Amino acid sequence: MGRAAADKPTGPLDGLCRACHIAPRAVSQSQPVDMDKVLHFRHIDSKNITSTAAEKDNCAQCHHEYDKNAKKIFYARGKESTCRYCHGENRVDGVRSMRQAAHQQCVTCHLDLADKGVKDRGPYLCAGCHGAEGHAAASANNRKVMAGLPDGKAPRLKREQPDLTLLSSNAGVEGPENTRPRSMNPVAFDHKSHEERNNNCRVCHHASMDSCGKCHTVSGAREGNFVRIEEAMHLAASGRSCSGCHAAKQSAVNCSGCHGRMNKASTPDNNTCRQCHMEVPSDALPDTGSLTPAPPLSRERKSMIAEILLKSRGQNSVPFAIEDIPEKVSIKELAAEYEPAVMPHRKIVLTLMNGMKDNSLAAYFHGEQGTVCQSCHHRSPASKQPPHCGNCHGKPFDPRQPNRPGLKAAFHEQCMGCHKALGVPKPSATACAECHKEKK
Amino acid sequence: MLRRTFLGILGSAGTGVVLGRSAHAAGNREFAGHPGSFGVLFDATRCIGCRKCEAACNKVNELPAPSKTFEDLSVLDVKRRTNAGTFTVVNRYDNIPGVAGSVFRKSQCNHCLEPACASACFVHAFTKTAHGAVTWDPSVCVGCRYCMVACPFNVPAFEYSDPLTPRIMKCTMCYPHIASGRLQVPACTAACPNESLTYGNRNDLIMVARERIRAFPNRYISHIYGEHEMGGTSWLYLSGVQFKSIGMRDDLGTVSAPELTSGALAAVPVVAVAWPALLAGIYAISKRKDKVAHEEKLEAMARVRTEAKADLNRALIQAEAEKKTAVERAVRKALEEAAKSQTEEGA
Amino acid sequence: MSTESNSVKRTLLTPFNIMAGIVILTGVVLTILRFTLGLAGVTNLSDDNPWGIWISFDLLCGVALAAGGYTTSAACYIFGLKRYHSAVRPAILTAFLGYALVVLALHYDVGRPWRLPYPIFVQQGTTSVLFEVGLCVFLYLATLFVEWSPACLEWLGYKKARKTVVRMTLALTILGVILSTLHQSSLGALFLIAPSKVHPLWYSVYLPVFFFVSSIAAGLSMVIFEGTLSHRYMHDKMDEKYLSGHEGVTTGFAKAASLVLASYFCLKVLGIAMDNNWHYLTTGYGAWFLVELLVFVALPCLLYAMAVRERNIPLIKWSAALTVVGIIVNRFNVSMVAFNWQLPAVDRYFPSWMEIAVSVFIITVGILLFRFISSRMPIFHEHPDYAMHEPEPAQSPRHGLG
Repeated sequence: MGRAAADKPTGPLDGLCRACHIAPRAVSQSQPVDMDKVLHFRHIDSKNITSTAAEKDNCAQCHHEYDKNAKKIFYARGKESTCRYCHGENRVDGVRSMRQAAHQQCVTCHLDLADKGVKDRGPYLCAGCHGAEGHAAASANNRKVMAGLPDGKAPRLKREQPDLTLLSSNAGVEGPENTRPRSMNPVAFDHKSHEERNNNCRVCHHASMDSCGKCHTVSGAREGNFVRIEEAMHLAASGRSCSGCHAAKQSAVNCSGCHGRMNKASTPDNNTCRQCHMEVPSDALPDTGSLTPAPPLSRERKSMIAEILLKSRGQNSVPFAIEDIPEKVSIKELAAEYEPAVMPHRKIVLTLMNGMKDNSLAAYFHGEQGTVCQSCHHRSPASKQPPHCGNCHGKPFDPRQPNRPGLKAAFHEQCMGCHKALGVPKPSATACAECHKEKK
Repeated sequence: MLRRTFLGILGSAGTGVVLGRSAHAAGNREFAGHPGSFGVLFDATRCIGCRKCEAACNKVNELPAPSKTFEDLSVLDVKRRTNAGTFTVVNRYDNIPGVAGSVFRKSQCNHCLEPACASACFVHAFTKTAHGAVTWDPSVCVGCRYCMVACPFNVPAFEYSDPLTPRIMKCTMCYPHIASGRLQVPACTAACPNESLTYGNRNDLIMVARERIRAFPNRYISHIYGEHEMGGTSWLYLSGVQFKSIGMRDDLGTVSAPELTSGALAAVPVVAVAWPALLAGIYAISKRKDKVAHEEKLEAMARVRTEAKADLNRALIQAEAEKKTAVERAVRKALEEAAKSQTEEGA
Repeated sequence: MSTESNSVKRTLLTPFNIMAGIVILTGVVLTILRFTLGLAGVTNLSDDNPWGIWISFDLLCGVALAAGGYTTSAACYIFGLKRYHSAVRPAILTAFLGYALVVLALHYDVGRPWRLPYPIFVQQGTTSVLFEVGLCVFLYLATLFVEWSPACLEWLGYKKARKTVVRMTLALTILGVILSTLHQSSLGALFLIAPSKVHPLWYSVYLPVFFFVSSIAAGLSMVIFEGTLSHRYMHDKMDEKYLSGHEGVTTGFAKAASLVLASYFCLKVLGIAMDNNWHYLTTGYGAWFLVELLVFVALPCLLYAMAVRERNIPLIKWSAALTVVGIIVNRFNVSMVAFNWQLPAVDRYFPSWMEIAVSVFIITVGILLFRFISSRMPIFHEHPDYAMHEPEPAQSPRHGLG
């Protein structure tokens, strides 16, 4: 102790056990809690979570806002939002971290119920929420509850969100009316079906329950982290943007045969924009006769316009009359070593159509005649009689077109690439004679 | 001949005649291949492992028929390399993490822009042609196999079973066949059903490869193997998986083979010029040391001799003088005694 | 000189001769096999392992161990250490035979041996390190032949020719040192082109320097080592001058070898530090590298130093043997053990017994030639006709160069 007392450098002192005995860093097995809409519904639906006298439902038990002046929390109907909007990763300005808030809110309530001897009380030990077995139990219960529901789906959240609406980029644009930049046509948006397809609101409403345009303005603003509305909706790399999320859906096995082989770097053409930014029919326009500059449209009118627009989209159906789709196509061009390959063309088209039968996203985008055909018959306008592949694909390794495959490779790449992506096991890519018999 | 050869060595330090470029290690000049030269782009995401390329190569180069036919894909169960009867092989790679199914890779001579084999060959049997192919001249090859030691891709093979005229065997990018007009493009590239092999101007191929990476960011890893490896190769590779997992060395670096030995070769003329002066200098010093020692010895001897002589003379003179005084003293004494006796007698 | 026929008859059926006979016979059979079945018939060489023991031992070790020629003649004629004069002739003869046998061995190894002069006379691959090796070995072999020729000319009695050659001694010595510096180092430089194949512990940009410096140690040790053997078996051929000088030569060379090995050790460590390859030392290859460095470089260096200090001639001889083994270990490591280290074990090379037998055959030919020449020509003794006017290279000023 002499050196320490003399304030000289020393080795580890009493009580600094861990200076030498370094415990191995523990690897946490903890898993995040997923409060998905089914679990959320089970809380709303629970008879054990009582509603207050003033409210007919029990939302107020968890959801709250904070009154800065009164320095207390209060319930605001219609303002319910995700806990994480306020409770972040760490405690900031006295607002508890998500971890603290959730533990206090959830565990306290579950423990109270347990004290009361309630059987259906929810977990209060760590593993109940964060462990693998707890997760398994929760999903089992979720499934059980879902099975008991009329249509097997959790009911929509009641937060007065629209079923259908229009997304437009006019919000936040300042200035005299005639100098405002013209905006894109609004996009009809089926909010209800997007709710059904996602687990929680945060998937899109990542920072607040407000409309996207509030933060993501046309030219970008601080509150939107300078992400412009165009980027917020279209950035391919973002899982939150419309385009990003839809592109991710294209990697599903049924879609990847065509979509997996499409150029991800090419700029979409004008027609692509129009698929969502549709022209509003004149009879649906407000009295001003125009949406630009945007007049404040009523909720009902937005819904009405959206409905008209969405109905105008085609449905998943065979693109042409069955008899117009050639049943077999014989590929004779390269029959040097092999007999011509006979391709079951109609069967392939029908199989592709069948793969997207129940997919409303596919229905929305493939509605136009010939869209599906253009996966193979690409780079030419959709037509019942598309041009011959040999029009563009000739001899290989043309120095003027180094990027363009020759005819043989174009065929093989098309067939094999799609088969590989779709996971079609037969014929194997190396079983030449299964597509074209060897010439004797 | 001797003089010319020596000039050749001197020249080698300055210019790599074979390679059409400077071989200075510290030089900042870069050889990016003969302008307009050809190459092949291999795309591992397209290769299906059908071995059509192997069959076409075997046929056009009139190589011996393999024990198993080219249709027999069980050959792919074991890893193979090029050998004296096979200029190109396709290998299958399974169980790559994150990849369902197999990935195939064709290997053959990569036709380096600055080939290690050409740099290593002591009879200049290899030539990097302006066309892009690296060719081998059977009329001068001694069969020392240093090219095989030098090749970072383990490509050249040797006819070990030929007792007297063994050849180095490797892919020629079908250069002889293209030059003779028999083929338009290398046989393997024409045979590939899928254009896993694209033949063209190397610069175009790099653009094609970049375009593919850009268009399909999820399909490819963002690297064109051969663009810079070992100073660049005419054969380029695209892959959806790490090149290491399809048997390609990812630690070869971007330094071309000639640069690796240019430093040592540059030292040759230095030694040849500096050593004679240095050695002759050492010889002169040791010689002079001997001479000085010899002279000093002679000098010392002479000095000793003169000193001895002087000593002798001095001794003689002294002896003379002593003798003289002794005589004089004796005479005087005698005289004195005579005088005394005379006096006594007189008294 | 008149007892030649007697001595041949006397020694015809010694155990050594019987062994040598068997080896020669085997060698002849294998030579026939090599040139009828090709390399595949007698070697384990493969496309991945193009160079085997014929390069590792016959070329790399052969050249390194023949370095005694230039080190001894340089010490005697350039550095003016005349007391080593008696060691020059055996060293030159060993070097000449060594290089001749290297060239002989290459005839087995290369695919088309009659083309061996091609790189010099037909088409020069000037960018190749091997070209430099070939050219230097060719020129040095010629130089050694001329350097050795006085012994032969004395034996034949061509006094005039001998006188001319003796006058060229200094020039020949300087040429020999230049050529040796170049090709000894270039043998290491051969592997510079394959950084991806040689284990990082053995690969270094200093490889040429390592090979050159270690060849000096090899040369010095080889003179000591070989002197020991000659002493035992050729004692009757040695004259008073050789015998009286022997101990001085041994001690002097041992001192030099100790210094050279110390410098070589430092260079090797520097090579590791230069590429920051320390972490490899903990691997299996690292252990083997340390064995090479400590047992075969540091240990003989210390033993030499101790032996010189204590005037312990037997210890010097053991150190020389250890150094010679160490040089062989090093050349084997660079060209075989560390080469292709990344290949799976099944693809690695190990020599066939026939390759080893051919190498043994070539060594045996060398020993027989050495015995034949040294028992007839004035190698270990001075020729009585020339004993009085021993060459004084200083007396040929036109070679002074400076």
